[in-house]
Amino acid sequence: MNIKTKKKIPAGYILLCLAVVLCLAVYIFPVAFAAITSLKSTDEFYASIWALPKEFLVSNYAKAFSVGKIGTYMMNSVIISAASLVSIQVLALLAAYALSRLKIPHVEIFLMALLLMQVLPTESMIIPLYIIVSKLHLLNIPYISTILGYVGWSLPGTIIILKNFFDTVPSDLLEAARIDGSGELNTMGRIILPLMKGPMVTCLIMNFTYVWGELMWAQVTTLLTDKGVTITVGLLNFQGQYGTNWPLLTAAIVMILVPLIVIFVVLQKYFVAGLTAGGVKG
Amino acid sequence: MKNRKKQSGVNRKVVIAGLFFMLPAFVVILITILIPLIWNIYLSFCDWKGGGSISFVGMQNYIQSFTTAATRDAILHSVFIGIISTLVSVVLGVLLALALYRIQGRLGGVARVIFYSPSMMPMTVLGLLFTFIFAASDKGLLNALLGAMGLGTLQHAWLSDKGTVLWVIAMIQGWRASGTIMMLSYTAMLNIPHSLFESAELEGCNFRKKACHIILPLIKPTVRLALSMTLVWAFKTYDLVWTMTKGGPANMSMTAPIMMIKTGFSYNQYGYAAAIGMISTVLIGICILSGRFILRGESYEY
Repeated sequence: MNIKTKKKIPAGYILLCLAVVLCLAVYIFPVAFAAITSLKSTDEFYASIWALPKEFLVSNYAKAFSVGKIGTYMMNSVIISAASLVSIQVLALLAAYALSRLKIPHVEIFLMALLLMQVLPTESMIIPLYIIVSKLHLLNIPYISTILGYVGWSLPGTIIILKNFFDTVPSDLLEAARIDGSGELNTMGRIILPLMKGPMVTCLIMNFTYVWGELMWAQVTTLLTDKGVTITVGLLNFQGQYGTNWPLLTAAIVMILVPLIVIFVVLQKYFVAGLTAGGVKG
Repeated sequence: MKNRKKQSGVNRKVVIAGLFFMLPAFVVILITILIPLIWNIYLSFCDWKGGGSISFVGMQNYIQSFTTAATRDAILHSVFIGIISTLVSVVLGVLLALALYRIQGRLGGVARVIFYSPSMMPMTVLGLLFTFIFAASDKGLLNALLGAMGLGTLQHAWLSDKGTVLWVIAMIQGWRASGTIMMLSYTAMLNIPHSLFESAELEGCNFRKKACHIILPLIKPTVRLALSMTLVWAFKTYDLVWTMTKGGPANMSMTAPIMMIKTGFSYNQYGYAAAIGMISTVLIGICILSGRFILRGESYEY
């Protein structure tokens, strides 16, 4: 494993590349296998789990989508995610901008509190919050209580990240705008936000993966209703209903993964740029 | 400093605008975090069936948590999964980041996306996928693979054996979090100025030496930060465990969050459930502090 950094390509480098390629294969294999299984009929699957499907069977997808209600669940998750993400982003941007640039006294105290809240586990809040939303009769309205929890719990972390980015925007820029008589909202929207694409995408992706995949709160808020059931809760209902019908289950899995993969591949350039520019130094 | 007086009027206006900007976020945080947290602490010292009167019982819920074998085991399982999975994620994540940093280029770019992918998959999906892999009969992918390789003796009922189920869950949890650790460490590595490597290169140091003596000490603050994040996730083993085993068979893989939800919503013992939640919170705090203590040391400015 002696890697020599000379002009010629060192043997260690090639070995490392091979190891990475091998790792990639291990990472991809389960998903690829699931994708192949989703195209088989149940009989084919139980005859041999290794064989490739004789013909590509899309009926698993159709069945999972309509009979298994994956379509409905996915729609619910899309609505909840969109509403949560927009609310998180707007509220966090406003608060982070204020903490960073609007001369709030004792900013350190606010930041300290946010940091503490960020590491608090949901376990320490979930039961009272459930009681609150049920006392306020919010549980009967689909989506609202689920969204409320997601927004509140994501805010501290998002505010901290965005505040750190706002700090990097030169304050001369803001003073100039202020002297020109530009209102604070206007300054933020016109001058600062265009500089913040990377960090905003970073927060969006992080919050999206959280909201799209959350289970505990989604399950608790839909205990008494079958409206507004998210994809994660729905997937478990689906599993309960179809047991070990793996071709059908894998079809559902693939359907959930595709939008995630597409979104991530499209946005990952900004994501990495956002993380890098943020200087996530402890 | 010179224009202070002129600006003070402007400043007050700015501060008021700032408070207005913070108000909406503050209200939401108050409702979803602050009030529930205080209520939860209070509730954990009370006996409450969900309806009717709340009676103060002091430490009884806490005593009950530690003396009831099932609850104590669930808490211990959570601690076990938390520690093992955090170790796995930090070691794997930093190694992957080092490999990517060394490789760069096209392969590095593709690998970065794929190595990160587990971190963005929903736990329920990963759980189902891994139930498929670890299923007991030879319809499980791993068992079928072992059978096909002639290693039938290694076949195992992975998810219903006391010796393996917690390890399997901890490994999956750690593997998932490794993507985030990798991404954070990798971006921290990109921030290291190239000039720091120059003298090492002149001396003819190999990459392993550079990694040990330059890169790892410099990214330590980032790893320390990521550690607290992953620990919180690792304790929140609700979704993964619920999807794969529901805490069973026979409480073998029961974790604190599942116990808490069951106690609260199935048995209506909200005070007891709140106490379990508080115990997990304190344990997570202790683990984060000790993790930061292990990774303590000066951070270098560069």
